[in-house]
Formats: sequence, C-alpha cells, structure tokens
Amino acid sequence: MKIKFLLLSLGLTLGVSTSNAQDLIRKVPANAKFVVTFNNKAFLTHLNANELNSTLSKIGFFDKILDNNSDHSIDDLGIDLNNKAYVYGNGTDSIQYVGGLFPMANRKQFEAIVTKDSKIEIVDNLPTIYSEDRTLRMSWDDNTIYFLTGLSMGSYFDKEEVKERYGLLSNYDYSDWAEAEADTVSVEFDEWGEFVVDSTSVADISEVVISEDELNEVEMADEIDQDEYDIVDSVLAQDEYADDYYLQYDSINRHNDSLKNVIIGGWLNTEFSHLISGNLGSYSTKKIKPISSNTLINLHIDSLGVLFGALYTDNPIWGNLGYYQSMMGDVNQEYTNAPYYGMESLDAQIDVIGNSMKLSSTLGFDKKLVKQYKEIYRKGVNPKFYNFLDKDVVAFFSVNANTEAYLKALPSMISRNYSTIFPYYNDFVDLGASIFEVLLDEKAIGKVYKGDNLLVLNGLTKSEVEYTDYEYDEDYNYTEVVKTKMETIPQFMWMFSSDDTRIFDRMIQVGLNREYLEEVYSGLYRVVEVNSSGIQIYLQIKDGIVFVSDDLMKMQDIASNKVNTKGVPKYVALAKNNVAALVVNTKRIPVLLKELDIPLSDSLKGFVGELNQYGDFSIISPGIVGNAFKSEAKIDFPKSKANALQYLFDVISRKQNIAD
Amino acid sequence: MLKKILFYFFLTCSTGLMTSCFDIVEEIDLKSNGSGAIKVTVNLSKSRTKVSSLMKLDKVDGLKIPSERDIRSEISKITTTLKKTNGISNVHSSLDFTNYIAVVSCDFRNINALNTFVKTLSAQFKTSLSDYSIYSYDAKSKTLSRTYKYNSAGQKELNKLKPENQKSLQNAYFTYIYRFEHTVATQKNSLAKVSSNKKAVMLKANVLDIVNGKANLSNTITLN
Repeated sequence: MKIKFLLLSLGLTLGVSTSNAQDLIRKVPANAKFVVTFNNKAFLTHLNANELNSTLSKIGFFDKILDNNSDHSIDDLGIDLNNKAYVYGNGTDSIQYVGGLFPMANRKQFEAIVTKDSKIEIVDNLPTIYSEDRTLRMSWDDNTIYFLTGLSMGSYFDKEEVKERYGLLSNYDYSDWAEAEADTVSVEFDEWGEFVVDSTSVADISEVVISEDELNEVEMADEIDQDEYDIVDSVLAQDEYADDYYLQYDSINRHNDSLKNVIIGGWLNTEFSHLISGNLGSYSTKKIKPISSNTLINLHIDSLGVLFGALYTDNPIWGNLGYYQSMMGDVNQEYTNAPYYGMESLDAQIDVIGNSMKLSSTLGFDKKLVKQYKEIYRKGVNPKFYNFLDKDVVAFFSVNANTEAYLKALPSMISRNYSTIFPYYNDFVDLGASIFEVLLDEKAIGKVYKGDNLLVLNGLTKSEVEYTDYEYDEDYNYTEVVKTKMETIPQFMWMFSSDDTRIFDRMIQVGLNREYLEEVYSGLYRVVEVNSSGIQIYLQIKDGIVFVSDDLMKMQDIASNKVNTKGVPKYVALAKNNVAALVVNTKRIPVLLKELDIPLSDSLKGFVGELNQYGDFSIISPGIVGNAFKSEAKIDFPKSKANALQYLFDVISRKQNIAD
Repeated sequence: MLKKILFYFFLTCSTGLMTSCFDIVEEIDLKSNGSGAIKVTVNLSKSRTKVSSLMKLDKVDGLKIPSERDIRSEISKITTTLKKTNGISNVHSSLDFTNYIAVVSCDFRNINALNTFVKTLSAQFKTSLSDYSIYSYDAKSKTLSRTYKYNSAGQKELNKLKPENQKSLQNAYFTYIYRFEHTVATQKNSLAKVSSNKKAVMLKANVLDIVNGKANLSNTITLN
C-alpha cells in the first residue's frame, strides 16, 4: 500500500477516532508553528457508527486498504478512535516539516494493513515505511503512528553558497551542467543539518550548451506585432527551443530534485530521531484552548507572522508578515527589513451545535492595533437601516468602520507597516504619513462618509431595460433604434450615513449639469449611463442617508416617506451586535434562481433543491474582544438528520449513490 | 450564409446564450455584375441582462460559455479567413460587449466568392454549412438563387435544451435583406416580401422555425 494513501486514509479517519490527548500533544515539538487537533471522539459521538462505515464503504475507503471481500468497520484500522490526533508544522529557513501523530489502538490490526505490499525497514528501532522519494516517512510503535514530511525552502536552496555546498545547478546557466562530470551522487549525514555532498558523479546527460547571449538573441529576434500565441509558437519553433533544450532543462531540474530529496530525506531522519528521543521538547498544552466535546477540529498558530514568514520567505506580502517577529528574536534572524502588521496568534475551530456547523476564529493583535481597531470597528449601523432588514431579505452585508478613526489611525499604520520594508526610504514613508495626517481633516471626512454601510439583496424586481432593435422603412433600409422592455433583475439597495451631504449634493448637481444623472422624482436621480447588464441605477439622499438601488419603486417609497417595512428581529440583532455581518437567507435562493431563470448544472440541481430546508448562512464578527479579532461562520443544515455532521455524511453518501 | 456560421457557433459553443431572444440580420447589396457587399449583424442586446450573467459563468449544463476573449478570438478567425479568401475584400468586424452586438462585413468580387467563403469557414468550423447554403447569380438572366437545404444538426442541439428554454427562442429572429440595382421582377419564397421601390427583398423568420425545418430560406429572385 502506498504510504501517501495511508496518510490520506488516516487523515480521513482522524475525523472519526479523545482523550488521552496529553499523551500525544506532548510529542508535538515545543517549537511547532502550528498544531491541528483532531477531536476524534467528537466525530464518533456525533456520527452514527453504522452510517459512517456504510459511507466509507460506499466511497471505496476500505477497498483501497483492506480486503474488500467482507464488511469492514473503521475500528479495523487499528487506530485509537477515542484519542486526539495531531498534525503540526515546524522547521527552519531551509526546510519546513509537517508531522502527524496518530494514536494507536491495535498494532497488529494496523500492521496487517501496512504490511500488505510495503517495504518495512527498521529505523531508530521502529518499523518504518518511506515514500518512493524518501521525503515522507511513517514509523510506529505500540502507542503512536508517526508521519513526517519536509518541504524544501526555495529561498534557501537558491543561495549560491548553498548550491555550491550541495552541488545544485542553476537552470539558467547551462555551462555548469556541461562541466559537471560524475557517475553517482552520495550524501553523508554527519549530524543535524550538516552534509557533505559529492556531486561530481552526475551523469553527463546532454552535450547541448546554450549561453544566455544566445537565448537573448532568440527573444529579441521576434519582435513582431502579432497575436501572443503566434509569438510563442514562433519562438518554440526555433532550433534553440527544440527538444534538446527542454531535455537539458528537465535533466537539470531532475538532478537538483534528486539531490534535494536526498538532503531532505537525511534531515527528515535526523528530525525524526530528535522527535522520538524527546530532544525537540513538548508543545505547551496551555497554548491550545480547551476543546469541548462539540469541537471537531482545532487549529492553533502561535504567531501568524512567524508562520507566513517561514513559509513564504520570497513573497513580498505574506513573507513579510513574519519579518517583524523575526526581528524580535525568532528563527529568521536575517529578515530585518520587516513591515509590521501586528498579527499574533490565531485560533480556529469547527464545532457541531445541533444541526448547525460553526467555524470560529480568534486572531490576536498587538496592543496598539487592538486600541486602533476598537476605535475603528464599531458594532451596529445607523438604526434607520434596520427597517430594511425585512422578511423579504435574501441576503445582507452590514459593516461599520468609523471613517474618522480610520483616517486618524492610518498615518501611524502606514509608518509602522511600511517604513521597515523600505529602510532606505523610511523617512519618506514617515514624511508621507505626516503630510497625510496634516492635510486631511478626519473629522470633516468622517461626517461626509461615517463608515456604516448596509447592502441588502431583496429578491427580484421588474426593471426597464434598454436594448437595440431595428426598424425598416418601406424600402427595407433599416435603422438601429433603442427600445425598452421590462425584465426581472435582482433588487439591491446600498445605504450609508452622512452627516454632511454637501459634497454629495454638489456631485449630484454636477451629474445633472453634465447629464450623467437625470431627476426622475423629487430628489431621486437615475444614472444615465447603463452598464452592460442593462440595469438602471438610482440614487437619492434622504435624512442623512445616501441610498443607491436598482429598485425604482422602493426608492420612490423612500423619497415619499412610505417605507413601512420592519426589520426581522434576528437580522436586526446580527447587524446591531456585530461590526460586520454577512447573512444569507438560504431558503429563498432556489426560488430566486428559478425566477431569474439561471441555468444550473445537473450536479448543482439537487443541492439547490435542498436549500429551502436550510436555515441561514452567516459570517459575523463582533470585532475586537479582549486582544483579538473574533469572527464566526455558521450554517444551519436541514433537520432531517440528528446533527450537522450526520447530515454532511448523508450528503456524501447520497452523492456516492448517484455516482454509482 | 454567414448567419449559418454564427448560428452554428452560438448553437454549439454557447447554447446557454440561446435561452433568450436575439436577432441575426444578413444584408447583401448585389450589383448587376454579381459583385457586392455582405453585412451580418448578431444582436443579443434584447437578452443583455442574461447574457451578461451567463458570461460570468464558465459552464452551464456542461456547455462551455464563451468568454469575451473566446468570442473576440472567433471573430478574429472569421475576419482572417475572410481576408485570405479569394475575391473577398474590405473586411470589417466590430464587437460591442455593452449591448452584445457583433457585426462582420465584407465586399465580394462575385457571388462565387461568397460560396468559397462558406466552404472555407465550413472547413474551419468543421461543419457542413456549404452543403446546405449555396448562392448563385446569373448575370445574363439577372437571377439570384439561394439554395437552402435543411440540416437536422441544429434541431438535435436544440433538443438538448429544456422545453422552457426552447420556448424562449420564439423571440429569436433571422432576417435577410437583399438589395439590388434593378427592380425585382419575381421572388419565389412565400415568407419573403418585396420592398415598395421593388429593389429589395426581405425575409424574417423565427429561428425556432428554421431549426425545426418549418421555415425555408431558399429563394430565387429575378430582376428586371
């Protein structure tokens, strides 16, 4: 059996195997950058065992790893389904490790699976299986199944001294390759991270040598204005781009990959030895928040900045997230020109709460940012908005980002975030931020656009849409004419508060003068320019609120104070108690799609048909709570099954039945 | 003729787009010596809201929805083929993605150039267009013939659409207008009409009728 499939299978069963959790968490290295906890007991508690086994059978899970001639159970895998399992990541600037720790229940059962067609070696006194390229290792003892793989870091292996040390070739300098004469590759592992690589024995695969000048000539020779595909085709048609060229390119990559695999395989074994001997220390259990019996999966990242900085060292955005932390003494000491985003730990988890499934997350920020974010993001929106959250709402998005507070915080955020990324220009960044601060009247702007917004999708409306038609004279000469017709379109309304509407009033006046706008009702304007969908947009300012919508009737109701809708309490509460809320009234989607005559693929028809049994889908954020930004995504599944997890498995099972 | 290519293109490549109404107008201005000009307009502006939505999708019911780039590429191929066709000149095309209107026009040296063009495009689109849409012009008798042979391939594609989508094709029309230097003596298609100045013939047929074989586009027009 292939080791990668077994890993995948174990990953699947993780869902279904609590806790002697401390046993395995103590084996997670102390410096792990992230830890994912699988609360297997929670899976088992929420799932019906028979249904689970039936579903796994249907998707062919057992067929792949067990004898498919008899009925099987998840228990047959030999994995302890009552204890937590962990996946973690750690590493250095040269390699990032991803490890897995699975609790063992019955070693004999487990070995019966893995020994079917695998070559087992004894390494560190443990039975061990390697992947073909030896960059993935699985070992086990009576209590634990260990997995470890490694991801080589391109930024490290691209360094000239590193390439030289390990005999790696540059794929843009083919002369290196031509000079390499060797027959074998051997790497010796002395100790942690120290290698002696003999690259002088690589087979001489190609004799074709193309210099950079020649390549430049090829690129310059074809500066013809033609279709881009023609250019590519014509370049590829040239001799220099013939098969030999690619063979050589491919050979160099294979040479480098082979060497890297040998190096990573060596590091992997060293790391593994340290892991099982306890040299890597134990991850602090205090870091992971208490996991309830409803929590299926939990993710903890000590420092988001350090993690991204380590994984994306070359990336100017994500890689830089980690620079600040590295400046503060973490592993990547060399990254000193760091922008600072102030992100700290991240905790996320998936919970089953009856028929709902919830993904909640907590992202920590430093104290200064917490203070700024508390001032910027405020709960609730203009109370006058709530009347628009009526029973007909299909979906809405509310957010309140205080413009005045944001503009006040922006200069210091720019200065902190970016002055370090451009150290040579940091004084200019600071200067720019100061000018910004002096020039802007935050209070005045904050009055014009306060920052609270509500976007509501309210079902459908009939709208007059323009189209081009033809009229023929008696001699059949035709002229293009613009006609109109009524069409069903999604009705939306966007509103935001303004305590000083003078700028908008002036803009409307300019729009009218330039004929970008036309007044269709007292104080109600239509945007003359129509977009490609043909939807007409209307706007008006009423009682300190700017309204933008494609629903003329509703806009007329607002203009004439005839709005008599009332907000649904649960929607009002979500908008009122959060800094941002996105809510979808899932039940209404099937009807909406039908009325809009939106064609659905066969695979989507069944799913959409069931949506009227769903509850709401929501993503909400109460903003900063303590020192962290909290958010939550939740979906209410149909109540046809005992809980959300059972419903999800039922969907998978039914999908498989259809496929069969 | 060009209608066929574009119709086939839309039918096979973007059946989703056909779930709404559209117009195809083919105009031929024919001179007495058999040369002339053709202009084909595909107008989906009546369905622009739906077309705009559909073009944001990649596939509908397994049928690929062509992107703006795909359509530009196809029109580019058509004009390139036209320019290379012997007897065809003054090739122009335009695409309006606000109103969803496409126009292709060209001059032809003689009526056979149009038939060559049909064959060329048949080969390019791997269809049998040239089998069922052929033009001929006899300068001596001043007779223009359009031979139209029904092809059931379109109906097969149409049958793949849901009945409600087929219904919406009731508002899709194909129109041809042939203009001449001389007056029309006779024309043999009962669906077609002769203009009041007798110098033009127009036929407007429902696309559904054409695809189902209920409308025949054939005609023989004799000039004075």
